[in-house]
Amino acid sequence: MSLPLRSVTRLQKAILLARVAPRISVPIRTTTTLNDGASKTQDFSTHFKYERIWAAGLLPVIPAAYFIHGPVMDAVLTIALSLHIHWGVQAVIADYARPFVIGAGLAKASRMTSYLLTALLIAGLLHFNTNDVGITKAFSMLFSL
Amino acid sequence: MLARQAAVLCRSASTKAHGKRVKTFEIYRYNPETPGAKPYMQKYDVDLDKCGPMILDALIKIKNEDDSTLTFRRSCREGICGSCAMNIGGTNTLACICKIEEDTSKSTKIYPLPHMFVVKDLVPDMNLFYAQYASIQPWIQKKDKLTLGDKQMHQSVKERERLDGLYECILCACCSTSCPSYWWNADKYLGPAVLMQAYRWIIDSRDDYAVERLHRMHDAYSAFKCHTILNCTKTCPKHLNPARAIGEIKSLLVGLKTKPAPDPATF
Repeated sequence: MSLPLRSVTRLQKAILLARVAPRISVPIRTTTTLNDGASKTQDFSTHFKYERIWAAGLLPVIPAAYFIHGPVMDAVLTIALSLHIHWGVQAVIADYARPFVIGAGLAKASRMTSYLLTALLIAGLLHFNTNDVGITKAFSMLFSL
Repeated sequence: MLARQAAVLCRSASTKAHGKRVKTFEIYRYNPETPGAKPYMQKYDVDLDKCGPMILDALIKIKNEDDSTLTFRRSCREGICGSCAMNIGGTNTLACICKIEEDTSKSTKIYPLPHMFVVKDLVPDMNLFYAQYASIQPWIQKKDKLTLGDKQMHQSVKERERLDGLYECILCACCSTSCPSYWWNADKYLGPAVLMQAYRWIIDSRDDYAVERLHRMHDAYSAFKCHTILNCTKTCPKHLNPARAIGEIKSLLVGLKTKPAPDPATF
């Protein structure tokens, strides 16, 4: 223990520096692995944006339909609601009719069914608007009961 | 046959504990190493006067004194490692920072994290969760040449503040496993915990690859499968807000917001 404490610390510092020195001033690899093809998947963001704008647009349309009746409002409601419902049903199917649960075949059939249902909905509403009283009139009749 | 009946009896009867405040814990048990084994609930009585205040204290007491086969993860016992994440009384939380309900007339039910594959008892399989975390590449990536020890990577106080509420995440997976979207689509949806960490690296002013990071999750599932149910924010034992982070990611993805340009170094 005759070694002075100061020289011990100096030795320790020297050892530490020698250990760290090769790492200092070493250039770091800057190539990224983020472009590995994962971004090549279909971009859903535009779809998502219009889906939200569509939903927000429904907020004034539905109360407006209470006051404004007629074939134009019927047509607007038909298109607006059909698409909104279509996207909603698609999301429900994506969540609950998964291949893992019901098998790949049935899952695909479920996805197809959403298109069939929407086609039926649009056809039915258009038929109702042209050959019957129309959506707005139907609701006013319902409320007057 | 007799042995099996005895085993069933053993399971239904709770362990004896004496005292004024004896609390019953009903704990999910499952040992896949026993052929044909099914999960079951086992009751344990714990004298609260001889036990620490937290659920983890009770679990450790049970393991030490009653049943050494009870299996669970734990490490730091102070809510910083995230090992003891489990479903306690219907809420995903950390056993070490969850107080034992003092009302001894009701039992406390403890399950592993919901909708995860169970390795044993309260130990869930975290492999998918960790693989998803690795997939977002949670480290700084620079476009310009970088030499260690050359200069510091400057970040202003304001830029650093953007990381508050994000970097504190301990990856306990309480939020992800409370999310119905993650239950249904864990294979394609990244889940709140991983998305919040993705956002943490996207908005880091020192990282140069925000656009690439965002493009990796622009498909219909990775981020957009979030239905804003907000279970993640409600359950987070660290009181963080993963739902807000996912909202920010969506805003960045649809172009409603853009990542601010980094502040130039003033020295």
